[in-house]
Parts: sequence; structure tokens; C-alpha cells
Amino acid sequence: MISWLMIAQAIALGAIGAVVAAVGLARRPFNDWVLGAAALTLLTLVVQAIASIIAPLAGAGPTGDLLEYWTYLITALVIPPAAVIWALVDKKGEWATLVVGIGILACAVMVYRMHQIWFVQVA
Amino acid sequence: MSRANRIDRVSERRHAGIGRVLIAVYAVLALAATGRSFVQIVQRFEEAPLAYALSAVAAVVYGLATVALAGRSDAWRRVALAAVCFEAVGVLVVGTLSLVAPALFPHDTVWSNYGMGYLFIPAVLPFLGLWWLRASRERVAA
Repeated sequence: MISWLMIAQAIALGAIGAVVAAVGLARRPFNDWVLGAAALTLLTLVVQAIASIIAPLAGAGPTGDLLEYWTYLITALVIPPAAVIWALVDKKGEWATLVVGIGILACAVMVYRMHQIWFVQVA
Repeated sequence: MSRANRIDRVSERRHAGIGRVLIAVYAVLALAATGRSFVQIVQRFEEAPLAYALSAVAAVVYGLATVALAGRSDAWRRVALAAVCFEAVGVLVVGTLSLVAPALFPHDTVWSNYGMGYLFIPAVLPFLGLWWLRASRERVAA
């Protein structure tokens, strides 16, 4: 697990989420760019999940609670697909893009919390 | 226009627009609260049974509110109102107690310090929910 990379991930997802939410507030409909942003979010979380499996095996476990960490990670992994399914179902909705933006922002907060659990929290 | 038609339009309105965003935020909060209370109960329920049971109840009510706000009937509307009121009272009472008598809540719940651990979203959301339920009903009357 690489501390600065995780912080960078949280900041990047926060920025992407903020942009998507702003575009959503302007009532732009859901499009391929929004889909791409959600896909990118999911991709970074999948990479994080793989790293989180490998790191403890390589002897670099979290300082905090592993169960809590995985609860956050799995919850975060659910959010981007759920938000996209929502947006696809709600095609005519004016606010689908904002929903995806909020989902990405929630993922950013969760990655930040995961960083704290892995590197800061003492179990 | 028939009454049935009108009710149909009303529930459409409650669904459309910004209400959907509210439902989405509720869904995220329900997920977060469920995850956290799952960890608390599995790992250290005996440390603070009251606080952690409360976390679980809060998580269930957030889930219920999500479903009820998305529901299309009058019955769901009443369920949503009850769930949202419960949350409003919960965050005010537990939030206040956690500041005034921290000994009662030595362990974090969703509602401790008015939901500070969740960016105060738990403090704002029920009132947005109440506003939304009221606003969507006023449009019904109009």
C-alpha cells in the first residue's frame, strides 16, 4: 500500500466527483463522459482492492482494522456501478449526472477514510 | 381529470427532479451507516451495546427512508415521513446528548456530534426530506 498514491486517489476522485456534480447541477444529461468518470473511479478502486489483497501477503498490513477497511472498500466498489445503473434507468431524468457526481464524491471520502485506517488508525 | 390520474401525476412529481438526488444521498448514507454498524457489532458490540444498537437502528431507518421516498403510494409517503422524523429527532437528541453528556456516548454513532463524522449530512438530510415531502404535497394540492 502506498500512502501518497492513496491520498492522490482520494484527491483525484474528489476533483472528478466535484466536476461531475457541477456539470450535473447545470442539468447536463448523462453522457459518455460521465460514464467514463464513473468507470475510472471504479478502475482505481479495483486496483486498490488488488493492492489491498497483495500488500498484507507481502508483509505490509494495515495499522488499523482490516475488516473495517474492507467494509469501506466493498461499499465504495458498489457505488459507481449502482450510480451508473441508476442513471441508465433514469435516462430522461435531469439529475442523473448529479447522482453519479455525488457517488464519486462519496467514493473519494471513503478512500480518504481507508487511508486513515491503513496508515493512521491504531487498532 | 380523474382522481387516479391526479395521484399518478403527483407520485411522478415526487419522483422526478431533485427528489431523486435526495433518494440517492439517502441510499449512500444508508450504505455507509450499515457498513459501519456491521463492523461495530461484529467486532466490539459488548463495549457499547447501546451506541452500537443505535447505529444499527439508524442504518435500518436510513434504508427504510430510502425505499419509502422512492415508493409510489400514499402509504410509502407516510412511512417516509415517519422515518425522516425519527432521524430528525435522533440526530437532535443523540447529537445534543453526545455533547452535553459525553459519558453516555463514549463510542461514535452516526448521530454523535450531530453527525460530524459524516460531514453533518445526517443533521441536514432529515430536514431536506421533510421539506421535500411537504413541497411535493403542496404541489399536489395546487
